Amino acid sequence: MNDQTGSGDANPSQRNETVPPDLYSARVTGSRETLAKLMQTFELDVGCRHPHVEPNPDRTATLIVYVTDDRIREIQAAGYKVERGENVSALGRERQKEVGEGDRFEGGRVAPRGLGEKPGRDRKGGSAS
Amino acid sequence: MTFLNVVEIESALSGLASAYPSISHLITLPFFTVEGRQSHALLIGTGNGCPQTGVLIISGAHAREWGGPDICINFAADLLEAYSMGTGLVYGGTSYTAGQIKSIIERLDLIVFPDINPDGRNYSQNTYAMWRKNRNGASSGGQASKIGVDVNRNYDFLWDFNTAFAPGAQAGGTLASTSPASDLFHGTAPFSETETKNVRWLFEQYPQINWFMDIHSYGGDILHSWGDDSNQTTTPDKNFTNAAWNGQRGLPGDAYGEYIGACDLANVASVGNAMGAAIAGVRGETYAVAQAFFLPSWGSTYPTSGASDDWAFSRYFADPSKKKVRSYCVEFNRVKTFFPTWADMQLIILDVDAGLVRLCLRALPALSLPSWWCHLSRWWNEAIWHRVFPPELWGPYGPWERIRRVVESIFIPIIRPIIRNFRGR
Repeated sequence: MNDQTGSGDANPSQRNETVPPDLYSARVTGSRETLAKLMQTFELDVGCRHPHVEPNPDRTATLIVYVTDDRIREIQAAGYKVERGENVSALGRERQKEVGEGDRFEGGRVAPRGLGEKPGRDRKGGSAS
Repeated sequence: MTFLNVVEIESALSGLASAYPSISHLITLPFFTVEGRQSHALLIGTGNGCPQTGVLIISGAHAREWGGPDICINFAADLLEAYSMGTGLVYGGTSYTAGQIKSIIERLDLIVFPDINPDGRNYSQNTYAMWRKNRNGASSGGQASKIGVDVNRNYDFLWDFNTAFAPGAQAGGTLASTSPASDLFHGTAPFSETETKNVRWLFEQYPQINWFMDIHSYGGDILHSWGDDSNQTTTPDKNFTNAAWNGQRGLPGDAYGEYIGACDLANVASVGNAMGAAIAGVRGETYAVAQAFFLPSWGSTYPTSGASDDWAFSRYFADPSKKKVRSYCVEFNRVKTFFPTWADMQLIILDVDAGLVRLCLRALPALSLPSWWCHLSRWWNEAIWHRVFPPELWGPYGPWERIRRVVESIFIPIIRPIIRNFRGR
């Protein structure tokens, strides 16, 4: 099997590469028309495939976007109601501590086991370990 | 317990192929990533009988959606172990019998390609967690901010969105982008990226594939065709191949809707609902089943171009000699975050894997046919049928389709309960 280390493991600073600025989860609230205009005006990271919109009781809705601090200020300056939420880049850095190190499957010498229960065989499978 | 890194995903596939050599084997994908990685997929099945049905499951297109490959590896490991031990599978409140697992392994060709974008995943897991695209810098002009292509906007389905879609649809911000700085940058051409080339290669090498799932995050949605416009079942001329409708796609409530046969629509919705029920059975997580064009939570629309599920479904309509591929995109995790804890991710794995097993069961052919029948059927299609009835004249938008639709609308409601009863599920 090919070496999966690739050439992209070097520290970005060693590659003279700028890591993008942190992104925040921001909640923009407004009418359907307001949010549509926001999407047309700013190119926004709205998640995977479609925007995530939470309807509010007053017929407005809240759209979740992932933006930098600078972009939040731009959106606010344009008159939108924006609430800055979690630093999702920081959350991602925290979660990076939950990514496997090395190779628990020893290059294929160890097979993973799934999490599903196999009745009559065991109470619970081992997680990919 | 932790999320799998890119090395571990490959080792896991290799480990499964070694541990279960009679019912799985490693597929080496031919196209290397820009960082020099070679990807692998796992073909699961006994290889006996009639390979009339194939299921392809992919994930990892968007780098920051970490859990997809973990879902796939656990799914493959569960099926292989359960079959080998002669047991069923239990995911919380959703369970499958040993007989059902046996049917999947012995009557399907199941291909799992867990991590189609390893460069992006590696960058996300080690450097910038919110990274979405691949790491192709060909269009970046040396600027880090312009590296990468959105793999799931690079497939050959209405890829040239500036031509195919209405200007109003493009303003919505979900379609795609020609700007390399955008997270939706669609590349320099359809299938310009090694990641999408590898997926296309699988379809070409395994023409029996007729069900497809692309795993993404987040939202808690099961999305089915189409993703470019509203579905409509009455006017075959309104379809993505018809250039007369260029510049008019992507808006709801107007003259254009993407054609889908009524039976196909009922079929993809029914199987989507079955997956949703299986997921809900695990611990009560309710996934919305919806056409990909619509935003489940608010009734709005969000067209996409160049997405994998649309391309997979479109292949048959663009070339009727290919198999029709019922396609889905699942957005796992109802909690609005790309980064659940690993503890939460384990629960999500159980949810989605329960849905994937249900997908495989619904993909099973109604009858178990001998291999000679498959060869005969393939020969008949290639040597006789497609010559007597050329697809370009009698294809999905032609007169034969119209006749077939009428016949189906009469007989399918009668036949379907009989087949279900015969299958015993």
